[in-house]
Amino acid sequence: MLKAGPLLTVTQLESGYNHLQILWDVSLKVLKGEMVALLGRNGAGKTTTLRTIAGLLKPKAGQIDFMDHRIDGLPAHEISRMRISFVPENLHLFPAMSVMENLLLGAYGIRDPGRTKGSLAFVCDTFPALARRRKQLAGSLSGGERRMLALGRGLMSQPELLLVDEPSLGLAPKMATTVFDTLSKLKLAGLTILLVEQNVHTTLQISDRSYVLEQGRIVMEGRSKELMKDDHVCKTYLGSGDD
Amino acid sequence: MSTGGSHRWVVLSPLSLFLLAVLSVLPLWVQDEYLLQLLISSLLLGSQAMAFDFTAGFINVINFGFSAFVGAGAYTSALLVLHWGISPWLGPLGGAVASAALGFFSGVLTLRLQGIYAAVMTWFVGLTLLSLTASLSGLTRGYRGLNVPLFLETAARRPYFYIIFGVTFLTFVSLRWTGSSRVGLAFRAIGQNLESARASGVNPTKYRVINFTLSCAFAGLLGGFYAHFLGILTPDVMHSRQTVEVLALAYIGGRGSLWGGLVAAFIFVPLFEYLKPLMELRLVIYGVLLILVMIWCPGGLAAIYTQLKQQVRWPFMQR
Repeated sequence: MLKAGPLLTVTQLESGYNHLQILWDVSLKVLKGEMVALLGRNGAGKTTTLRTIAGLLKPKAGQIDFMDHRIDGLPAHEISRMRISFVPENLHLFPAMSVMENLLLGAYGIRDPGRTKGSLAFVCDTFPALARRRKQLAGSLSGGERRMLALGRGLMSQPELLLVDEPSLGLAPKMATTVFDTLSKLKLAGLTILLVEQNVHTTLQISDRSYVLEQGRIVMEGRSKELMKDDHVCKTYLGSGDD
Repeated sequence: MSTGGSHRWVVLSPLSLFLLAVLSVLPLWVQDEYLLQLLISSLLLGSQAMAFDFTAGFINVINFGFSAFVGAGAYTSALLVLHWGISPWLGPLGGAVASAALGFFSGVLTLRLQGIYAAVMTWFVGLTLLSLTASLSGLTRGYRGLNVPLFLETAARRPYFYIIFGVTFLTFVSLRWTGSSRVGLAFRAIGQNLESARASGVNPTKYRVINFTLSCAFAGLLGGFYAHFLGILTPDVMHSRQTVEVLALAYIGGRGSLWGGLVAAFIFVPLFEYLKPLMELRLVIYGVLLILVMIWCPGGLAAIYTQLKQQVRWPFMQR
């Protein structure tokens, strides 16, 4: 494990939609090179946490620091240019654009064509299926391919930190395995990942550390391997545990 | 950018080049002045529909004040020529600059708002421009109408056809080129999924304002040409009615296609001209057509064309 200061520090974050507050006093840290998971039920505030970090929601209180910069309250397009990439849950692709155009938009903050070319080569290498379908409209892709495209688009900006929301949602088990394999490979290649997932079992296996969110508060944190043996986690999220 | 490079410079497809070529030689056969006038009207409305579609079809903001920006360009051009004595050929450029400036300021004010609020605000801006034009009668002569110097001495329609054709061509190529550029990619991203555009590093307000300003600049340019072609201006050119007609043409033609509105203009402008009894009911018919298009064919003529192309191509080229 790399020993360095945290890449991302979230301190006492409160966030939500208009008058509906969802997150209460959420604090978490992601170190460089780590894969950290946010676990919790539907409506626990996992997606809200990611959206707030990405700048798509304005926090009500608290602080977010990324690589020595305070980023809370910055607009999403500026956060994206600071190399935080958000891969949203319900895909949010540009359906009437080609795969290639979707990917190019992922690198919109990069104004250096050479670097864009490099990212494109990397993404095509990681997802050969996308390379084959680059002229096809994103809306015509299968569920698995769309997920690949969403991930690929997120990688195009050569992020330091990848925020991934529910990458296995709605996918066939085999496809989901491919997605998790890809995430593990990206982590091995040095990418830092903050992952939100409902598939708790697999997530605990591939992530280094995890936070458990319940009703907008962090109720537990620890090394994923240890959480796997925890009673509360087993009962509530793994559907197994004590007799 | 390496990847889009090959097709980015070929802005016009062979088919559109062919159709434009046919259109450009049409007046050599058409001798009838009335028919030529119809062709010119179609060109004028069609290019307005393209400029309108540049915001509606790309960034998904409907400019209900569109015709007011056309009118602002028309009046600016006319007044520049009348009072400052500049050539009618330069007037429309002044009109374009004035409308672009107006578009920029109303864009900065309205485009931070979400879709429908922005649309309503553009409508109010349009209404304000209309009443201003009507009430500043010392300058604009209000509803008594402003006589505008024409481009040419002649009453023949053919030279005017080529003037307006040139402007239409310029509008089409410029909008098409911008639409397929890097900036155009940002426009379309904003129109298709605002949140993803933001997360991709696109500043929505900035690109919306750029888009809106450009569209208004072309509205003003077209307005200027309209003024010196028609020879008379009343505040009615700014009426929402005019916007509705442009909107209907753009939507029937196919949002985001640009060319669809031009094709639709060449169908509906002559149609209503020949079906005189229907002329009065024009807006009603446009309304009905709009509803039909939205229900059954949201992509308009452009979508029908794309489908046809796929079906026709299929037997020859298997993919």
